[in-house]
Amino acid sequence: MERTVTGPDAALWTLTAPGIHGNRVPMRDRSREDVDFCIVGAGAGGGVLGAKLAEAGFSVVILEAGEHWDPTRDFISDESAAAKLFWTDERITGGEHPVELGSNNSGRGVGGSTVHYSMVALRAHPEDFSRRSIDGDVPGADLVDWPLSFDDLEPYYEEVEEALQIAGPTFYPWGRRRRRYPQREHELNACANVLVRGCRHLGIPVAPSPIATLSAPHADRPPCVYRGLCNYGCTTNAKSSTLVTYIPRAIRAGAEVRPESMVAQVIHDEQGHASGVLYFRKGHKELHRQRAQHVIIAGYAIESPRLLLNSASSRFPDGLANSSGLVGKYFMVQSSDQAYAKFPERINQYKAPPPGGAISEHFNRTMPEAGFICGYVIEVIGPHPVEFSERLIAGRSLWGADLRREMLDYNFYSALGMVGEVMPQRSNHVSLHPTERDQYGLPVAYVVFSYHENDKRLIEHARRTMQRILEAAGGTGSWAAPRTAHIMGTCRMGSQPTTSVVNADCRAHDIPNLYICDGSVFPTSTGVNPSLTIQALAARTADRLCDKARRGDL
Amino acid sequence: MMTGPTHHRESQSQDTSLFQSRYPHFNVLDKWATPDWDDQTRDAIRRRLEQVPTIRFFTEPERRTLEAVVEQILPQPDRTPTQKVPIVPWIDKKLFDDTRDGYRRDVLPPQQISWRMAIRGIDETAQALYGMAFSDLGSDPQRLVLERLQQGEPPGKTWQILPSHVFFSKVLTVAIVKIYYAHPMAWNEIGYHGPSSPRGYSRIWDGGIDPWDAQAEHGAHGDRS
Amino acid sequence: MTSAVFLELGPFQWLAIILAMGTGVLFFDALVGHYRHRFGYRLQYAPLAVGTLVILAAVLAAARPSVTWVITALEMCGWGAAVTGLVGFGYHWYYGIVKKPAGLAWFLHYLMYGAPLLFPLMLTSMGLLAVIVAAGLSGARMVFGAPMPTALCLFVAVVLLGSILQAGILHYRGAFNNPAMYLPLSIPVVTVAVALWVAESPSAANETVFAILLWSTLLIGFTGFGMHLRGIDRQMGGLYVALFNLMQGPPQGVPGIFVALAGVGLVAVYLL
Repeated sequence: MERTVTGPDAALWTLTAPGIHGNRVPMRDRSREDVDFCIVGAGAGGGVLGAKLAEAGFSVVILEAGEHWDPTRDFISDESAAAKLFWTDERITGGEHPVELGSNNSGRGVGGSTVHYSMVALRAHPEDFSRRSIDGDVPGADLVDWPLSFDDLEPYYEEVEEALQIAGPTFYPWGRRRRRYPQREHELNACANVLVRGCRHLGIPVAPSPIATLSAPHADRPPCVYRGLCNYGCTTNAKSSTLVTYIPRAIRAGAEVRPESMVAQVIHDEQGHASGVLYFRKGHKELHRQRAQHVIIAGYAIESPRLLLNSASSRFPDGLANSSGLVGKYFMVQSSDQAYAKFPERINQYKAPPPGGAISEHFNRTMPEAGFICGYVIEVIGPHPVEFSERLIAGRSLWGADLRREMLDYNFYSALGMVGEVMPQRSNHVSLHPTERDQYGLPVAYVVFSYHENDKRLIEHARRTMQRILEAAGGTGSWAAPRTAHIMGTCRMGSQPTTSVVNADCRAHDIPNLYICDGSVFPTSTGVNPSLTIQALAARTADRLCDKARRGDL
Repeated sequence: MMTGPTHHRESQSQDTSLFQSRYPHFNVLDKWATPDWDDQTRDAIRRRLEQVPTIRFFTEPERRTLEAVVEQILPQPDRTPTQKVPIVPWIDKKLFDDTRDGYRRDVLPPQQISWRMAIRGIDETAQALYGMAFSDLGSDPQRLVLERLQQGEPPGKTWQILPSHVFFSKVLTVAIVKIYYAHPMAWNEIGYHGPSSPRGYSRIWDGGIDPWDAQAEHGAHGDRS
Repeated sequence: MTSAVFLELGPFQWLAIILAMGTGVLFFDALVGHYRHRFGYRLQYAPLAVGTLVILAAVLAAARPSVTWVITALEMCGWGAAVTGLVGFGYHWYYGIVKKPAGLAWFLHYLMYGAPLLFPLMLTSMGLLAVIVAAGLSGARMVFGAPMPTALCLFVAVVLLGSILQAGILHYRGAFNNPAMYLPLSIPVVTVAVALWVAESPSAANETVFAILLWSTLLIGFTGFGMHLRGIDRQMGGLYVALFNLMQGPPQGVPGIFVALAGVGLVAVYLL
């Protein structure tokens, strides 16, 4: 798939980047330019923005702290060897329910978390954008409405689903009526069959799950082979991570994706406008500078606020875009507890994409008389041995001979997972740790989190439900283990500069040419996996930027 | 490149009844040269099997204590010392290289400090309860010492600074299983298929067993296809 | 009914050869599909056993068209295949759709991923073709209450329609990722219509049109063979993981049904 670059600027295409088939593709070198857009983070948000802006004719640089993966060489079919896909720079966690960070929420490398995520591709519901109006005030939490609606995002959900070729059912029973997914749903694995049997037995609606991996060939990518190592990098290239979809588009359109470049600081001029970033390049001791007309931060909900706070200057002593004092505040995860049970037949839970192909959104709504607001999705999971053994420790406090013996039944276990909405609490936050420093000498992020009473009741309900489903499907000895997934909220979106960090276009209230476009901007967590919403927001933001440019407002 | 390391299924020599695998004839490494393994995976697993690190971080007394702790957390009484899945060397390497996990609880110091503290604390608890060093204790007292750690606030000065239940359930046990269940011998015993690339799975339904899976030898295996 | 000869073989000998070929491709797909399910149901061996008998009988009948016991054997095998196919259809319906975890509530899903519903009925059709061939070889001019040419045209219409539907379901599952996947849903539909027309009121004109459509359908069938083979290569690992991709990829035999049906129609037009 080699491509020769032609045209007047062909001489500037002096770099190469990994293609997705073990080849190299030509890439433009923009290190000496004052580019239109410098994007920090080549993940879910950064990849979409990079591609759309480059395709619109802007000069774009995407800086990524991690490597640019070559799927044919870098993805190893092994749980432990996948550690390189996650942040290994240490963050500190605390609070009443300290969050574990790693494979559940912290990707590193081109593609970010879309390289290791479980590919569940759900749209938020229309109600999710007006939680405050619908469910009212919750004491101890700051529920708000989003400054945009589902209608604003709907065309972008469609656009991203088409670009990623989401494989989903012909009729999806939840959320607003929609057109058919671009590809058909996948065949179900044993774990998903357990969910389906259990739900049918209990009268709970269940449907095939929309996931971001191909069920049929598309362009130069083959369909999924059900090898089940999705969380450790897809060697098939069926998984529609940003790495194999938007990033190649960005590079072809002239963007430069610069890996192993850890952005340390966003810099600004005397007028308080962003003028570029300073970053550490692997193998170099000194800071480099990338000049840019606009800076978009897309480092996800811990690294983005951390960067803003680390960019404090004499003009902005509390960090950039922080006049509200809310950068880093309202840190949310989604509750993601898991339930397990044993079955008489071989499940071999490690096969096929973890979501297994089935899902129930029946509980993803505020249920009357439930005793809590908001809801959760029930999904399927398929942990591999190391992760499964960790669940036995976390959920049943097993160790020693008991643990080793229980693991012998690994192939007979089936598991369910939830994704539950979590309340935005100001006391949950990401700040700079007073003493800890990373390998670059930068203050590390300190993540403090505690569940709200509403969150706890929701989790309790979900655990009971999942265990009931497992038992209805024929499982015995069900148990549950705590877990969280995804992160969001730390640069919340709103229309008022006093109560939010960015506006509906993801533009920082304080700095007109600074944007934040990732999960940080979610004012509420929603009860569905966030990746599709992040990518739809990024697609919309790109269009809004293009609109502004056309009007001369940029 | 294509010939795998020689790791035969261990002949059961010690007390085997406790950990009777359902798949006694399954060996993941038999698939070394099949479409289930690709070059980068072979490299990674070969290094794991053949390049077991030497001890560079722990002192000899620390290593001895840790070996005893590991044998309690992930016992391998059914294997001779040379057959056992090595665990302490990999913990040692992690600490020597200071390879971190991406996050740390705020109540714990950095790992190079916390592990040394914990080993010291374990000996303090052993002394307080039984008047002996941990590695000199019999198996049952060793187990009881670790249970005290799991419950929290065991006797010992160190545990007044280092919360034992956090270290036990979030650091110690997790580090050990992360190493044990990454080893092909552990995969064999639980019937985990191991690497699979470029080939995937076809029989993904309940009871479905692919030709290259661990075949059903003991235990139920209804095919609900 | 005038009966012509082509390459020294009579029309029913040609039909016997086509029958052997058609049953052969079904045999192959049943083998792969049932192997994928580990022959978990004992009856999954039945189409392979019966298919083998039909193929043997058909080849014998082509070589020894006037031997009585051969013709009888062919007819018996034909009925056997017809019944086996019906039983298979029942199994595919019940175990492939109704008994699945979500059953009829997920009808479209299991139509795509459960057992391919109409494949067994293709075996039934081959069985009925065997009966027709046996009748023709013993000199009959009527079969199933209709004149030979009419019976064959109706046969083509019905079985081709079923094949189109089956291809449609599986190509829908493949999201029509290649434009060629629309081919079996295009011209063959017209072929079905014209087959019915010719069966109703044959004329020199519509038989010519029919022949053209049949040649096109034949071509589409061969294209299908090629595309399905390419489909295996397009999967991850291609022929390096041949067995796996055979089980997971497009069925290699069933485009041959389009070829076989076109062949049946062409025999009816040219040789009868």
